[in-house]
Amino acid sequence: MSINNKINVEQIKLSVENLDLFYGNNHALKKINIQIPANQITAFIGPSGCGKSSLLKCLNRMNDLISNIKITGQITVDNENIYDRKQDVTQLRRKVGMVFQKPNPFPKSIFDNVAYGIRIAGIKDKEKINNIVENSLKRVGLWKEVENRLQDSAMSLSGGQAQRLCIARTIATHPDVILMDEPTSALDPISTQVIEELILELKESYTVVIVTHNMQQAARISDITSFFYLGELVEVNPTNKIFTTPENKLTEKYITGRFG
Amino acid sequence: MLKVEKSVLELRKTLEEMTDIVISIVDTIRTCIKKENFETLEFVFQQDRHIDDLEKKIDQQAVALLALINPMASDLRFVFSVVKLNSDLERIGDECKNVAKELKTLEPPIPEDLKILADKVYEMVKDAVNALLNQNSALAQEIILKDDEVDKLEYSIQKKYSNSIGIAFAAKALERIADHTTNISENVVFATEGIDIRHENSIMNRLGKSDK
Repeated sequence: MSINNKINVEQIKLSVENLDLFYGNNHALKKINIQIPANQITAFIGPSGCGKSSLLKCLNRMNDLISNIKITGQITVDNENIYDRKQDVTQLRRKVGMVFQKPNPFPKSIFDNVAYGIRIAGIKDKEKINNIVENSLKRVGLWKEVENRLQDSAMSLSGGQAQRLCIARTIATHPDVILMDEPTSALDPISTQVIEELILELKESYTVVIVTHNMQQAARISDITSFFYLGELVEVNPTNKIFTTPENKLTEKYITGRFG
Repeated sequence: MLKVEKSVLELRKTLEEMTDIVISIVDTIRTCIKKENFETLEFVFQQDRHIDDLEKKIDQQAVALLALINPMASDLRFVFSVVKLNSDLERIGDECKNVAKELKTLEPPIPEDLKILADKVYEMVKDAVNALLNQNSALAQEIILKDDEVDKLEYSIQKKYSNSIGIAFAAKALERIADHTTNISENVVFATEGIDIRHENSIMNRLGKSDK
């Protein structure tokens, strides 16, 4: 593990500027400014209701369909404003993929789950689809476990396998960014460890943003940790710094468990 | 009280037992030198076993705390610093034995310089323990600054009494005790402020501030 006390900001993948988010009258995110570097793992931590999941969902506009929501400010991915009127949201979500808390395989075969996104993207060449499915499943370490039963229902997989399938499904469409909303909170410790190792490998090729309730998990896998409290971004720093010498008193209290 | 607070408190209690003994033996040494009376020196040797046991107990508690409680931030820095300064406390005990052995070979009168040195070292140990138990970084920094005085005094004693091995060795051991108090102080600065000031030349560099 590298001992890094400074954030390398050479390559910014995602940038959030003066973001405010309201659910009706509830001011859920307050003037958020954060830059997310490419090929790093950025963790969002904070107590329930602090706004970390809300912010994550903004990053690929998963919040769009919530009624009464109002978002102001700017979010750019590769310097393009994703809330621009011209933005193709489907295209955005292909570029910024998401993995959820509970594994949510489609009620289809293992193969079709992974092939789903690329078929929708218009790829018809069977060999190409086969290749992408195989590579994606290999990438998440699931290939050996399922290569002989690709046509079985994805619902037959264990929780950990299903979550890895969902990650394979996400990377099949070659996103740049993968958003993860507590991807291991429904899994056993061994499956959690497998997913954590996978996330560490994924950062070679992708930018990962992860929301986690498990502070140890943020400590283990992330490069940068951001602490949120009551809709505000309290502190962003390299993970090593946050967990050894946080700058903010509030962060210190949260990290050491002396909260409230 | 939180589990982590309880565990840190337990570690602290053992640490206090250890520092109480360390202060008492350094005080014994100082008093013997001052009064030129070595009757109570046995106390220093008697405490050795006790110090060794406490050193092990502190390490065991710290390892358990790290493994089971996963302390973070200031808690983590405190536990880490205690693991490190624990061996300095134990070494102070060893050096006290060394001083005591040398004293036994000496006949009064004891040179005034050695009495002053013993006094200064005792004050440093007392202050270092005070800084440690109260997590007082400012006091810890003062101790580091005082180490130079002790070095100079020890050097002058070495020169002046080069014909008396007992005095020279006793002075050397006292000087080493002072070195251990600066190690302890460096760890206190790390625990309280998260800055590592070891191996820096000037105190200002050590504290991450510019000399200007």
